[in-house]
Amino acid sequence: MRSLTRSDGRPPKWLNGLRRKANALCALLYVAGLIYLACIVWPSFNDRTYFSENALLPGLVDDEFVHRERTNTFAKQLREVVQTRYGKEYGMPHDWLLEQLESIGLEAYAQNFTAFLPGISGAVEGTNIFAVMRAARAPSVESIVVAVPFRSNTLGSIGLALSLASFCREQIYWSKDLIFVFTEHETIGMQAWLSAYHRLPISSLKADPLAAHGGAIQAALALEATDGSTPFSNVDIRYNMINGQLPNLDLVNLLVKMTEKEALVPTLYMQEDPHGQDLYTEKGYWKLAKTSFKGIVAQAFSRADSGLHSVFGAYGVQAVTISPYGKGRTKSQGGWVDIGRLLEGGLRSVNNLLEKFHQSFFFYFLPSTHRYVSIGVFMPAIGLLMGPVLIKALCVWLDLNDEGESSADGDAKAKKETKSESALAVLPLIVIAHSCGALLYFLPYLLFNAQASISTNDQQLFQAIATIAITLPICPWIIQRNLADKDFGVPSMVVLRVVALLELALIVGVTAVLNFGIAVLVAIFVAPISTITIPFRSKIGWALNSMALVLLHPLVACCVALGVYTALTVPVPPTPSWLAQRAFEQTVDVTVGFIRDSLVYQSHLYAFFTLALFPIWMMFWTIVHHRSE
Amino acid sequence: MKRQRSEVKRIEKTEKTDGNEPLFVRSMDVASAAVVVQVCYLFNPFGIASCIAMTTSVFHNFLIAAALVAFQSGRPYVSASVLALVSMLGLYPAVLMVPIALHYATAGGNSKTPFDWTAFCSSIAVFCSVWAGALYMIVTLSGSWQFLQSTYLFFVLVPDLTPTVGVFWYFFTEVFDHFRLFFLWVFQLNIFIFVIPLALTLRRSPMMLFHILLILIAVFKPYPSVGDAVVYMALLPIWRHLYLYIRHSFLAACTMAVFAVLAPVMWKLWIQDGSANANFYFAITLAYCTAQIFLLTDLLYAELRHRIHMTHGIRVIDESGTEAKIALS
Repeated sequence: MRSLTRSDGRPPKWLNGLRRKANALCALLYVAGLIYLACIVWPSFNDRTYFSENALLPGLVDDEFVHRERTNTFAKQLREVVQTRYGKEYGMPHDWLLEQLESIGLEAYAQNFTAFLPGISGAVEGTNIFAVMRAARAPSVESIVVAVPFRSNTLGSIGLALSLASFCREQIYWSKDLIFVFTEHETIGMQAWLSAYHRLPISSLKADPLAAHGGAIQAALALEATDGSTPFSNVDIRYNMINGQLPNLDLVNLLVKMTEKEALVPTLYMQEDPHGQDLYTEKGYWKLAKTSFKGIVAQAFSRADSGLHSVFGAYGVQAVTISPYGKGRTKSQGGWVDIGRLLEGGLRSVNNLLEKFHQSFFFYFLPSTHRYVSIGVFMPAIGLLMGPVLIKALCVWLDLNDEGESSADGDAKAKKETKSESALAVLPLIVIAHSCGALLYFLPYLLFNAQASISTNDQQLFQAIATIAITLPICPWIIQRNLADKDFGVPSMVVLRVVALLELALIVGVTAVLNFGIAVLVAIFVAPISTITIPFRSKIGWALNSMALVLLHPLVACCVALGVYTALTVPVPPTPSWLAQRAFEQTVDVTVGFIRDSLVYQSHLYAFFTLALFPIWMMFWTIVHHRSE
Repeated sequence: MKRQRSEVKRIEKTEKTDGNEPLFVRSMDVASAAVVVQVCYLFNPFGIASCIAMTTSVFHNFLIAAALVAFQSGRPYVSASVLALVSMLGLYPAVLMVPIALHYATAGGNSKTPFDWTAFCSSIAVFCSVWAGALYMIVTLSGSWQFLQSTYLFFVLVPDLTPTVGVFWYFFTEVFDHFRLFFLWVFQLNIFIFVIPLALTLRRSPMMLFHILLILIAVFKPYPSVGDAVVYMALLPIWRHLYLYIRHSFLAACTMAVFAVLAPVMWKLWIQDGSANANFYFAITLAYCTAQIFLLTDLLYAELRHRIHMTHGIRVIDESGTEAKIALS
């Protein structure tokens, strides 16, 4: 079999050059990929943000929200109610909230929900309170959501949301309904509300149907100010959603502009932008690089902990969380009223929309609040990093074919038979590798029965997964030592190598579109090691290969990465044993967290690591530990 | 297979058997092909996906396979009738009548056999009459000709532009009403016009023509699905003796694998998340059609190249004694 041939059946000339220089080319492409990633953060290679949707008219209106006393009164009353009723426990006063919302004049409802989660004994029960403000002059076909979680330190935000609701009720210009949602148990409550709103049931979450709807949700703004003292100085804008989804860049830009209009400083991941004149300097570059890196990691391992906005993505709703923080210097700005005006400006802009957000980018990452890197700029990085994998696969495949044809014609038939037989012989190994991944994926669901009263705790769940994940790699070893070597001769390992490399390239390529963060992290660490994983040659090569692969085992890599991260972020230099223990604990948390996220928020991170990456790892492990005699 | 054996006899006469073994169909290949074809059909991801989706392409594929079985086991009128049934359901498989009629016009002979027009016309006549009979039954049962609007006119006029894995929907969302009829003619003619040159080239290889027409139908139907690809993919193992000359297998296979993974992803990004748009999905669907076309041209090239080598041997030596390069002109 030949591929990429000229019309007379011979390979094109550039292909021979490629094959001769394959290793050098692979190394060059990988290094070029890393340099490319470093370069695109530099401001000359990316663009300043701009508004694509003209209908937004951001910041055009004069904000009219001035209800300082009303906000303070609401917050004070809420604190009193919570303290007198629940003391230190900070339970949510549902009836008080319903009463206040009805006194404002909105339709207020409650929604009960129950969540069944692994690692938590008993079910998590809660009640969301939501109120719908109907648009006076428009049919209720679209709506905007303002969401605030109920926590001990978000009482001020709830007060603001209530007074904002009363303000909005008095205006006549709304063309979309406003829905104010106060959730219990934060994102779990938000997910329960959203699944009931869109009538898409989730198996581990039992949510009561909603008594009222508001039409298609155009945008959602979540407010989550911790009750630091006003005045605030900064507003953290959080936009990463589950599964690496991002809201439309217009919405993020809108909130940045509204923040600046109120003379507050917008930040991303608590990092401020470099100042104007610092933008093209080295100091500015490191700030941009740090924000970009935090953005990539946040998108890769997006959990639901960054804010209520993170669960809106699965329903096609653009959502962002505002989190005011910091110590403002003057008392006249940065108070709750300014945050209220910020939200009012955002709501009025979204109110102007004629179509849902579609103009601006959905695939981007932000080095600063005023610069963006779009998919057209960052996708070549994936191409450069995965180039070595594809070139290696192609060269190995062509070498395999050449072996079959370079010998005399009499042997050609024999060689072809071996090649096709070895290709078939390798099929069971591929099936086994994928079944191992599938087993690892379904294990938590088998262990954790949502309806049973006995639930496993974190430790047990993790132990089960870790045991399976660590003992499964022994399988190929056992299989290969027990079967005759002629079934798994070196040609079949070569075929397996081609399949594993192509599968890795496919997985990373597909993930790059869905969740660029995790794709680029996998490409940086997995791509070089996978290209040098070859069947058993010398003892040293085998040892180094094995060690590298062990480091790449998903659990081990997780542990190592968390250890490195802890070592870097902890202020005091830690002892190795404490570090190892901390890394292990965090690995347990992270793994069980991924499983919980996949149950409640339909996050695909756990599936990615077990169904997609682990089988590929198993195939490379099989290749490295193949013994030929 | 009978045809292959007759060609084997011809080359033996020219005493060029040394080194020509890869050209011939081996009897063990014939025996194992049945099992391999079955495995390829049962474990094809597209076939499993069609079953899970519970589509009617299962019935279409069954009837096409039944027509193929009847065709190969020497029952011309049975295969024509079964093909009439599947054409009644889907309209486009009617082009598969051409290889069947050609086979019975040149039944089992070599290029010297005269073209038997009677056999050709009688098989087509059986096909048409069974189709007409089925239509008559439908008219009697439903009482009117209303069903035409929902069946054949639906295929021909393409009123519904729901995205599929084909090429029609994206184009027809953009075309102006003034030109719609013109483009409809062009697109519909695509399937039928290619049959003529293909039939003329492959008139002595009706099985290859049947296979290639299956691919053509799967690509150019107005409302294709991945279930249409199942039958021709399952049939690929029978061309074992042509594998030497297939050039783009790696490329086509990789593209198909990428399509299988990326198409649902692009669909989800577009329809559910609202992040992507129609271009993303159409791009990957176009890659799928390209992979199928690569497969089609590969099969055709391999068949033509194989014919040359069957007459001149596996290494073609020209007058000066050096090995000649065979180029596709």
